[in-house]
Amino acid sequence: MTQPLAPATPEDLATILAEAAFRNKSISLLGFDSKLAMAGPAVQTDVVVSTRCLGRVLRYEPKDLTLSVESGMPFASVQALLAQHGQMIALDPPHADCASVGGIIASNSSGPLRLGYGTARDQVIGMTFATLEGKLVRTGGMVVKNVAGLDIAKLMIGSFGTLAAIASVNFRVHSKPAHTATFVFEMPTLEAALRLRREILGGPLHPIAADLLSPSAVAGLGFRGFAIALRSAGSEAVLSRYRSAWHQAEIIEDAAEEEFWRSVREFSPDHMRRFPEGCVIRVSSSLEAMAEVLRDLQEAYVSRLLNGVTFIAVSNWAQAAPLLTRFAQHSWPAVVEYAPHEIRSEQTLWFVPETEAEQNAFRMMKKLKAVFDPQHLLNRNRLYGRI
Amino acid sequence: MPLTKTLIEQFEAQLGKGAVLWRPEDLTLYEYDGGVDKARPAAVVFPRTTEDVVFIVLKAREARVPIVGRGAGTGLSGGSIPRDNGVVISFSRMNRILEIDIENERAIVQPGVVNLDVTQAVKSYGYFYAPDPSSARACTIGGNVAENAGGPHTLAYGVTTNHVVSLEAVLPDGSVMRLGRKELDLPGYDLTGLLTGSEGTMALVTEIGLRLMRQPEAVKTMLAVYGAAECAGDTVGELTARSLLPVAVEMLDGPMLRMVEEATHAGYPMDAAAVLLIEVEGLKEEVEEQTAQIDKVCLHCGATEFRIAKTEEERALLWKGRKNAFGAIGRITPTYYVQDGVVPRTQIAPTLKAIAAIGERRGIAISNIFHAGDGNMHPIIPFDPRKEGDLRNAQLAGEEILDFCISVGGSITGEHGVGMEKMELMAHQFDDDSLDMIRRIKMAFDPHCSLNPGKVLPTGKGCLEIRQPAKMEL
Ligand SMILES: Cc1cc2nc3c(=O)[nH]c(=O)nc-3n(C[C@H](O)[C@H](O)[C@H](O)COP(=O)(O)OP(=O)(O)OC[C@H]3O[C@@H](n4cnc5c(N)ncnc54)[C@H](O)[C@@H]3O)c2cc1C
Repeated sequence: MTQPLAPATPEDLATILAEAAFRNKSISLLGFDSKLAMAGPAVQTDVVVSTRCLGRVLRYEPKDLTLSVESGMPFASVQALLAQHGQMIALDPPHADCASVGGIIASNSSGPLRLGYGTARDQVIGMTFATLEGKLVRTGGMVVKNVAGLDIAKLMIGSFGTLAAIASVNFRVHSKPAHTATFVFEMPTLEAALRLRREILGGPLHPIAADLLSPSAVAGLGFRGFAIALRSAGSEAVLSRYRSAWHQAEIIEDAAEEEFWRSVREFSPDHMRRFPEGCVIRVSSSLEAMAEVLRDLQEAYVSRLLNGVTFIAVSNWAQAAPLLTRFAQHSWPAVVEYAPHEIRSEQTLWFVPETEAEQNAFRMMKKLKAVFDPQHLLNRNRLYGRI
Repeated sequence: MPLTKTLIEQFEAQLGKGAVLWRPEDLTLYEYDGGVDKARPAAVVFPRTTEDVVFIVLKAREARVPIVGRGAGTGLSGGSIPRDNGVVISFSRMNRILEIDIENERAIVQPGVVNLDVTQAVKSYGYFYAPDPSSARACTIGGNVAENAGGPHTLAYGVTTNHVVSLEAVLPDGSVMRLGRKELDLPGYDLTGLLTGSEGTMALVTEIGLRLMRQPEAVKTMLAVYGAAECAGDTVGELTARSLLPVAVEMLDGPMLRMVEEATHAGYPMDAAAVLLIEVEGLKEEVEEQTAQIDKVCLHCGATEFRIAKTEEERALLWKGRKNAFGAIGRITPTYYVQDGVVPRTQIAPTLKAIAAIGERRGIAISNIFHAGDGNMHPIIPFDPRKEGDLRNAQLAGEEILDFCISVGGSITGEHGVGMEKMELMAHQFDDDSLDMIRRIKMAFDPHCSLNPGKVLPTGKGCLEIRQPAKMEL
């Protein structure tokens, strides 16, 4: 691959982009390469720009619960800094140990904690990004409530670097919960597991994570059958309430708890390490449709049980294709999140729905791409092969 | 700009005679919103369906007349004012809740549904819709989406954008887009997030998918009383720093709480310099513990008294004062101007001081009632419209306050929007490149500037405004 350029300031980042665009060079943006196997295929480009030297903390006000960091800062370092003050960014995405802040935001990565805290769109309060015209654009700010101007950060979250290069991100941060505990229910069948979900939904308890793991996904973690893992947070008094309500469950705490959620969070990357030919499909459904989506699935999967998002791991494309066809038939939104490079170059990764109104929305996305990158130079096809 | 007879006739033919207003005497109500600006529309139309909206948009486009959406007209920044005349599209008759889907924790509504009606409709299932602007009894979900409205409880639950999962929207060219769905995590750019808070300048929203939340098991409301406003401000910083998480922290300063008490008899102390109205929600255990800790923090920061509402009635009474505050102000000063700056939470006390100083210098008795928990200040600036220069003086005081907010790292608006009121101030908060990006994104949606022209961006920096300020391109 071309030797990456690694600007040390946002201004340099903007200049590099402008120069490359001026000369009509194709450009790819990289953080720490953790997501090269993810989403649309990264291809050879004329210019490669890495954010790895953009690693400064621009502002951290623990008392205001706000933080601004450059996009190339390792996410793990940010969390370590915050932990010194008992705080955290409430995101637990895959690759959390090796990804850059910018990469996590650009790919809209999230993990089990989203139930309690939401996703990137709920944590980001501002951003600076560099455009292909060499400009640094600011949106949002350093306060938790702000409606001045358009919320352009929303466009950047999940854009996979196809619009502009994120230079810095402002977050609202959260206090770490005083205590947590995780309750694992082993269920004999999917139906029983989904019944339990309904009970949780109907009750007063609010876990901060609730994942369903299929038998093959949970086997390596020492559980049998379908497992529902619920994580609760709060004071001792609150946790004892959870303990008595969920006394039939196995409780895991402390280091074992951290390790358990680490493996849940890293479900997709771990699968890809073990099965280089493998694929991970992400399918979204309403909670109601989940029974239908998951019925008869033999593959290993992890479902965000109360968000309706499921990650299914298969060992090759031949197993992925029929699933995708079935999901498309039911109009359940699905993408191929991970697959070998050749597969991602050849196959449809994102099934844009056929309705006119949804096609119009897709057309608007392309229009916006043209506003930012009319020559189509930046991270071409990284947005699931479509943009 | 009088409309042609044919355009009115076309509207009447499609929508029915009762759904089109055009006689000047019928239009006066639509010259205003809740702010201080006004302009008369050429006509007001009342669609009932998305098809009606498409029809109106296309006909107005043919006739080259600008359009402006309108909810309940409670906006405080002139968002729904047709400053270029044109046709106002009122969504008040698109007010059906289309679907309540408890199992998936969603409601699908038309834009004219009143905010509070959503919670009313799902209450019996044990659910609520979280964003609760103080205007919740009147304002519409469409208006909330346009402004990205907040409210007392957004401190814990987030603002409108955190609760909107999908939109149907009509573009200025008459095409209909569907953004997002009940399902989460759709690939592609988050256009739902982009349109939320776009102040009705990029598309007209015709359907909204909302996230519903489960009601908490327990709730407690308390009132902390202070002899100095700064102490109340410090309390907010201290609560945040100690990771206590009330769902609402509202502040009323001395002048404000006296006005409110006289009007509502909520039981606020008449001689205090400030009060904080604090609410916690969650599991019983959580609520008990947090209440005790908050009590300690308030006293530590200098509160002279700490009351906890013992009954639901006492609770409702405490909130009644807060919720009817604007009515209370109206009894004393019928005309006033509400500002909406935001500051980091540690800066509340200095900001209150700065506001007082600005008021003193300009000879205005400014009072404050605001969402203290997230640093969202609402100074109330009274003026006498009959007195020459008084409104201008109030506006200048507002600007100075907002400049102060910017100087401590804040923003010129936390929830009321920029509208036509704070357009020029956008240039104080953002540089030209950032403003230009907003303009270009707006133009991707509305290339001819036909939708709500003359809003959000400073004059000369907006959409096609270089030649003809605040006008639609003809
Ligand atoms: C007493 C009082 C208290 C208030 N308290 C709060 C508060 O606590 N928090 C808060 O956030 N706000 C508050 N507000 C401000 C106001 O209520 C909000 O901004 C509200 O969201 C406006 O809703 P509306 O239906 O009245 O919209 P309008 O004022 O009619 O319109 C507001 C904007 O929305 C656009 N719009 C309306 N419908 C649509 C649509 N369907 N598609 C596209 N654009 C549309 C309009 O063009 C305009 O730009 C308060 C106002 C008052 C008078």
